Amino acid sequence: MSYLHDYMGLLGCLLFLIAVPLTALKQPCFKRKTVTIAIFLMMGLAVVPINELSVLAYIRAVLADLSITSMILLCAMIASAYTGQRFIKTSSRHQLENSVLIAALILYPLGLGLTPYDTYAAGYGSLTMLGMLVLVAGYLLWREAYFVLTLLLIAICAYLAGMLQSSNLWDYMIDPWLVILVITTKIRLRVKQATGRTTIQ
Amino acid sequence: MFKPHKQHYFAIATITIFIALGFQWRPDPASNFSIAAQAPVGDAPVYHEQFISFSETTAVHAPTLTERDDGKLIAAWYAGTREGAKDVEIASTVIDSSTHTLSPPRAVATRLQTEKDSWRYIRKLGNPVIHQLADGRLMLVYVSVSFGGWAASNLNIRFSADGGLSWGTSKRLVTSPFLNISTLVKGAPVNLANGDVGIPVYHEFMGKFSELLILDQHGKVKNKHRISWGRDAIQPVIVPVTPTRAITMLRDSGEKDKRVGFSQSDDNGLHWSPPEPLELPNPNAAVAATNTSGSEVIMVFNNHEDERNDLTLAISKDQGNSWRIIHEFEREALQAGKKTEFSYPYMIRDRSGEFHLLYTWHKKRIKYIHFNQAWLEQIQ
Repeated sequence: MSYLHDYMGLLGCLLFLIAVPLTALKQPCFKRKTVTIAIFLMMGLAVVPINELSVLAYIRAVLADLSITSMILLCAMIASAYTGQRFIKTSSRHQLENSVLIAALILYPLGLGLTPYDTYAAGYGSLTMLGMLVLVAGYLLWREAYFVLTLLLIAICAYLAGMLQSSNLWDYMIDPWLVILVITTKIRLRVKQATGRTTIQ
Repeated sequence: MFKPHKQHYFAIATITIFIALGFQWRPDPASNFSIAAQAPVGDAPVYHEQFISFSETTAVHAPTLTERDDGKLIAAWYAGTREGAKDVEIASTVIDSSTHTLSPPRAVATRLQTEKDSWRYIRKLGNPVIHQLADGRLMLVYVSVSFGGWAASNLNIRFSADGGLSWGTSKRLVTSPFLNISTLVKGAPVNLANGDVGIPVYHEFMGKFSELLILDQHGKVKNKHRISWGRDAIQPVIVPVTPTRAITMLRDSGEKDKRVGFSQSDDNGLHWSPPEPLELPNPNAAVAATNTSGSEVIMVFNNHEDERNDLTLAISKDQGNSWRIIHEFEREALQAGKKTEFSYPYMIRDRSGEFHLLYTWHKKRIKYIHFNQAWLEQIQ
């Protein structure tokens, strides 16, 4: 099982290494062949050894292990760059962004020692957390927010299967890079709205 | 006729997955602390001191030790050219406490080995804690840093089934939600009655606070319980005084008062009282403590608000509420231009009821002191 944890950790870093430059440099004129070459170049770069460690091992030292949610989104970003299609509807994206921000507000201040109550510890298994998740899932089902619900259910399944090194459910659902991505996206959208380059969707 | 809708499929999947999660999270009552049976106390006082690391040029720090099944002690500390250097490794020696002989020192964890085992770059190693589990295996938990300073620390764990001769693969412990950084160890772990082990840990990132980490016998993190919060109390030292009650003494990392912190739990370590300052001073330095016989607890600490130029022994007969100083292991006058430091004490009581203390001596050597209950009673 420990190898699976490391493979999953490195896979997250590889997806990050491929998706971030592809998305940042996204141009309408990129052809599928160009994207394919870029993906293979990044995969080649990932295994280049530096002092007997691969580039991925250095990236993993900084990124830590990404959550299952982040890994799915990175896959969607790569697929989007490859096909030129959007795989996540705008409404679903907004639901996801809001969910991530609310989860981050609940998790990080308390999990990092602000109060005697530790929200992160609840992720090792607590009836309170279970109850909260049931309520959240029920709400998502009622609102027909199937994309966010699917991500939540996949994260829980991965947790039950013990796919990551962590034994805490929070680490399967959210990570700081996901929060940074959401905040960056929100800021970019606000700037575009302010400069009149886009309309509210 | 009923026609299933997309919502129905999602509802069935959601219910199924949550039943599985509920099964995984079925209540697991917190285990009692495992309290060793009280061994008969010998009549003759025993007091012995010696160095267990010898190189004057090598920086050494953060010693730890535990008793093996054969009655010998295994000690570990970190050693290198300086704190935070790339050549720092976790060194170890076996101490025969009956003859006070030492085995040749050897590395039990290195930066390169940890890198290889954890599949990621490691910049430096730090504090170790070594401990014997209820099943006889040894557990080594030690700090590593991939980038930045000690605030970006991670914990690694490895086990030995042959008394420390060989060690298994190091595994990363995931203990923090923010990139898994900022968890360190210092205090002695405590065995729990169900075979789990409680590891006192602390964080030094946005907050400086202490927790009790609960691991199962395979090194999987099962839970953690917060001891302190905010930015003032780190390096908890936990002393179980009954199977359900434990007290903890804490290093004061705050700016004012500078007193040893004190907290207690009456529910197997699940909940801890807000830390209170004891009357004993603390120069932002680690302490060590263990129990003697039931309600007596002894603590080793620096008896100064700003300096580490002494190492003092205090005793409490009321489970940590009040303390009386009974001995000074070290004291050196402060001299301009000379760094005087006795720090990072680590103390255990073995199965025969005798006490073993290690500490950093001027950050150049590790000193070992062995004493017994009769000696303690003699000096009071």
